[in-house]
Amino acid sequence: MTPQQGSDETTTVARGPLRPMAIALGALSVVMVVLSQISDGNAFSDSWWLVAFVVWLMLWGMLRSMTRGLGERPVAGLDEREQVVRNRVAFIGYQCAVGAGMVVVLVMVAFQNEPDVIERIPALLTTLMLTASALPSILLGLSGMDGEESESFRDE
Amino acid sequence: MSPVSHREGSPIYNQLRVLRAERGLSRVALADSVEVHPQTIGAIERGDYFPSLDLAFRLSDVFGLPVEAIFSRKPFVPLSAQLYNKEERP
Repeated sequence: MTPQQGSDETTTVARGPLRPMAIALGALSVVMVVLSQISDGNAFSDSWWLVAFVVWLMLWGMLRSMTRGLGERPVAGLDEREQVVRNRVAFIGYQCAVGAGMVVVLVMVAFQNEPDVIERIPALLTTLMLTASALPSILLGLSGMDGEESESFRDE
Repeated sequence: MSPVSHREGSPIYNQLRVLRAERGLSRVALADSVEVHPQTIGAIERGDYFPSLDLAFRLSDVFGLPVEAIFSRKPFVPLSAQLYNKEERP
């Protein structure tokens, strides 16, 4: 289909699985946080958490590749709105990473005399750090702004 | 995630969609002419994003109109309403 003068129908590529994938990745992150806390001891030896971790990595890889048009393109290739969007999601991810780190520190301080809680910290920290690092991709996925031809450009 | 830059009570209205329709320009064609992504044109038309002064001038160059003919702090009166009211006048 070739772009036509006066027509906004330039591509039939739909958003597809971008948003569901972002939602799934966010939900899986929550599940991993819960699993890291209810596992019997260290979650790194808990099969459910490990399975969730592998699925999480696969989802993250797919989402990242689908949002790389905006998330990883050189700044020179972005227009002014795309730069603002990317800066915003990166800043949110950074803030969440710092916040998640502080939460873990506070938990460790509060429960320093409880080995059962401390034992679960590595998996919790891993989950929170991974989630924070993936947050920009998740936000881009939720917004449907992947920087590629994901919009049909039809007039409403 | 649209980089909305609304300030409460001071939106910026625009005529981009009307001007595009007048000239038979698609979003893609307009976006190409001002070197932005077509989604950016859509975001501006919806009022989700307010363009920089540089982009506003580039858009005004494309349409050959002053910036204030494309962007305004006040809502634009629909063309049909303008024509109808003119005919109704004695």
